[in-house]
Amino acid sequence: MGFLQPWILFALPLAIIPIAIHLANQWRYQTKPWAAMMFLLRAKTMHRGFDRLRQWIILSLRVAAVIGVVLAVSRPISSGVVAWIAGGDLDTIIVLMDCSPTMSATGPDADLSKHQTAIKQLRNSLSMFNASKWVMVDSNSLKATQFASSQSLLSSPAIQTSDTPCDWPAMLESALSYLDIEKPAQAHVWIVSDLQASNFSPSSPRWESIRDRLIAQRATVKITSIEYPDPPRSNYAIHVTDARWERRSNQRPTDSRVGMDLYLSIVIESTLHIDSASTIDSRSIPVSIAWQGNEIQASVDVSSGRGELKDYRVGSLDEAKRSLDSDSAQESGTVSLQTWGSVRLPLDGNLADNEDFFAADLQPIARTIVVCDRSANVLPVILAAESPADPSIQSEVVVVPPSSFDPQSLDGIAFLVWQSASPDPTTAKAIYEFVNRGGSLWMFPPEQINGPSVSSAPQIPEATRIKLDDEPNKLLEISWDEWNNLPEPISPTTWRSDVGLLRATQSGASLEVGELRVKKLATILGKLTAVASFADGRVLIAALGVSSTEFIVWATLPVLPFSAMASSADNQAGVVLYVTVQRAIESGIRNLSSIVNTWATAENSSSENLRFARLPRSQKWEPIITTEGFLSNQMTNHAGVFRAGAKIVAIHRPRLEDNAKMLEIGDWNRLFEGVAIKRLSEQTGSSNDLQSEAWRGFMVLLICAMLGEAAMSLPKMKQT
Amino acid sequence: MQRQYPFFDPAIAARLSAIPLISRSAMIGGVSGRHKSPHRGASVEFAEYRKYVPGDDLRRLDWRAYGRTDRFYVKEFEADTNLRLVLVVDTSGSMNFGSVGMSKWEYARQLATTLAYLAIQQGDAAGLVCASNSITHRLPTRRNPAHLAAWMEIISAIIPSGQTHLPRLLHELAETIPQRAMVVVVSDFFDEPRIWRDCFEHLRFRKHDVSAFQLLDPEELRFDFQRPTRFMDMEGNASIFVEPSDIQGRYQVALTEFLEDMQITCLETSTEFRRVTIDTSIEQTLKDFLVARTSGSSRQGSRK
Repeated sequence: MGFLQPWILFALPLAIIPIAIHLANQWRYQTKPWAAMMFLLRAKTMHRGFDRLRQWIILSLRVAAVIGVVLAVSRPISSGVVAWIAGGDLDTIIVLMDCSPTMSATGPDADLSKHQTAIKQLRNSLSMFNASKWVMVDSNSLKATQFASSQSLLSSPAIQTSDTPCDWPAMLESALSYLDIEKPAQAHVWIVSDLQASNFSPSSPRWESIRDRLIAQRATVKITSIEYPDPPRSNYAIHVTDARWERRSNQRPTDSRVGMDLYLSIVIESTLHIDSASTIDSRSIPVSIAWQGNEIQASVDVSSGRGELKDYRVGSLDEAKRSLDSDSAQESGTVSLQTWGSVRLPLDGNLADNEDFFAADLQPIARTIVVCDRSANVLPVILAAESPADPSIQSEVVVVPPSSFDPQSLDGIAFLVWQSASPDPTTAKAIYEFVNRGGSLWMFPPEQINGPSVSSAPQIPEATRIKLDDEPNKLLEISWDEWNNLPEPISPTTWRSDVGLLRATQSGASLEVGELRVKKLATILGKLTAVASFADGRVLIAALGVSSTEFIVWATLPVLPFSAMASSADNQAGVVLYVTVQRAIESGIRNLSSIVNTWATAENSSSENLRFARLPRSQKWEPIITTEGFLSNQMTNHAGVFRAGAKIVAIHRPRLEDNAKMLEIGDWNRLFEGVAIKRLSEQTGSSNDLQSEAWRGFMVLLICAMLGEAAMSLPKMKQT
Repeated sequence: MQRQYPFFDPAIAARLSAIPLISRSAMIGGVSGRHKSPHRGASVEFAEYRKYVPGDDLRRLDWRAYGRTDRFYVKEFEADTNLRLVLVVDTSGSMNFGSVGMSKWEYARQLATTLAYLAIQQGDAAGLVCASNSITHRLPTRRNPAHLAAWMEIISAIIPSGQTHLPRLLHELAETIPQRAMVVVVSDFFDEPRIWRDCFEHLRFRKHDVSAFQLLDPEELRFDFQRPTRFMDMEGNASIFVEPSDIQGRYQVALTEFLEDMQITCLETSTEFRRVTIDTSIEQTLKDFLVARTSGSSRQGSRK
């Protein structure tokens, strides 16, 4: 058992005070001549059983009360109790630290944030342990990192708060993997969290295996959860939802730098739970916009916990030029349509969500190249590509035969449609590079198929192969079997509506993929993943991965007599084709843009963030606007504007992180059902150490002893 | 100059002398008095008519009755006599206990002396028996006022000590005192109630009018000591060490059982029982006793 003030234990001999008083009291007896002796003798003979023990029980309770006081004042730590129960020193201590932005929230009456309180309390508590290994899994890296001591662990830069949400399933998996590999004799896992529901992802299927693995480790691993569930003070979070250049209506697009205005859309939301937020009165919140060295003040009317500033004109490109000219400190020649800035709220209950960043540039032209034997075979695709859904996007479609296709022309292309036989190796290499850059590729079977071309396809030398997301080169292995005329048109019955090309719309409506009528089908050959398939298992659409939108292979052509995708009788099928084409263009154009908007994420997070995956990681990142005090390898964990080669990366705080809804007690019990976890609920800003729980326990012992003593010392009811 | 005794207050005696001491049953005294006698006498109170028998005094014939009934009747009247009051006072060591500035013995002495004074004042005879294990003081019943002086001298010289042998003495008195006397026992009665039952039944069998004053100290009733105490037996050498708070409950149980048994014993033996805590004034105690007898509705016992 550990104590923060062990010297107070020297006062334990004070426990004999009640015994000494008892003995002294006995010694200080009075002598009394007594007449009614017969009643005393009779009462003595009735003094049996519990009555004989009563005074000894009272004496024991008094001794227990003194011991309780001494132990409580010596501040025993609950973890010490756990270690004591576990028997001896621990082999490994693993700290799972929530470093998400909500941990920066301060308590209702405290200056310290939850994170600072946790660090302070851990510093006192962990110093009581003699562990041979100190391991931390932080929400920034999700990796188990070993330290030499508890002090070095708690002083590590990795433990600092960031803008990255905490992925508790991933953190627990990381800790469990460490335990599986290291197999410590006795380990103690400390979970430090604010119980934010979104961090726990209670609906994640990963919890089942995590729970089973935790139960399997029960014999050797003790788990303590330190929780800071108190809601933040009045707190608002700010997010930039859109930042774009827009040309004034009276300007002709002769010069891309003339007549352009920068518009921002901002959302301010209360981070309190929606039930609490609904009670918040309407108010106007000032917003400070920092752009090109200027500080622009705006205000947002917030009602029911939410307010939005839609298409707010920040300034024009001309104003930005004047500002730069007057500020000699600014780097010369940086004025371009690439711009960035930040928005900031006044101080409130959580400083971490008071700032967001933006970056903007001109939308690139959505260029599409259609390589086909005959343009009529892919005409619906061409028409869809020429009609962008976003009117601010300019589109260009070029149709070329395979013989005239120049691989060099893929620069600046967002979408490539290949409807012909498999490309030659040189062309295939260029297409690999195109897809690797983030361009979208659709492949349709040629009108005339001469059988499988796998064996006859020339192979690219190993040295020249380009890795495509660590997948093997598949393009040359892709081919189609001969066309099959179907007796009756068939429709796909199985497709993925959650991710990928055929995912549901943002409103939640599913695409009517089942309305696609296929009359001629060519079997796709190659190592691809089926995205949409028929009841008999044949594939209509295949992709490089189930969530891929960039590399799509079709098993038919979008025109009659192959299919009825774009016929007037199948409007829903036409919608499916149009939407998928737009998604392919959107995916391709996003990677052509010099601006990347993404959100802070852990390095090895399992969450999909394709836009982020396309960032040129190989190039050195330079922070342009961001918070200070983090390592260069933690840039992806922090919101800000960074320069990565020719691209500007604006990293935002995930909006899900701003929902301060706590994990329900029922969810906690379900997630950790059968897992022995000691829970310590702490208060933000508390100056008490974690051992306060044990302190309370001894105080309970003290109170119980005193109450028991008082109850047993009460005179009996007088008999009437 | 007349000697003053601290245990006798003439003022109290003077106030109480207004209330006569009445026996509950017929007494047999030596001279005429104010108490009923089992014999017929020459008082003014009519008793009954009796048929004339030869030898009766013709002066007691009721001629009016003869005129009405043509038969001879003799008119008889109640006889009034004095009583013999025997006061039995316990002088064992336990009577020395007192926590209210007065011991039980002092209270008993005052009570007995005042009662004897009242009896002699109204022409009754009073006698005293004081008993402990070693010495028995006896003062025969006399109605002479000078008898009080001897009474005072004797009772002032007594120092209670030793164990009580009051039950044995009561049995002895029941046999030695002439029948139909008034016996008043003053004691704490700290012995088994069944022993007292035998004594009282014996006295009642001899047609004595028996009254019992049980004197108790308030401290004996409360037993509210705080500190550990070694209690020394006042009638012997025994001692007992107790933590009063531990034993108080059971002490109260034992005491209550005893008091209830005593009360039942006296009720069943037609003994007038009066429990007196010695912080009660003597005057009040005796007034209650005398008034109850005057009204004929004694609290305990019944008139035979």
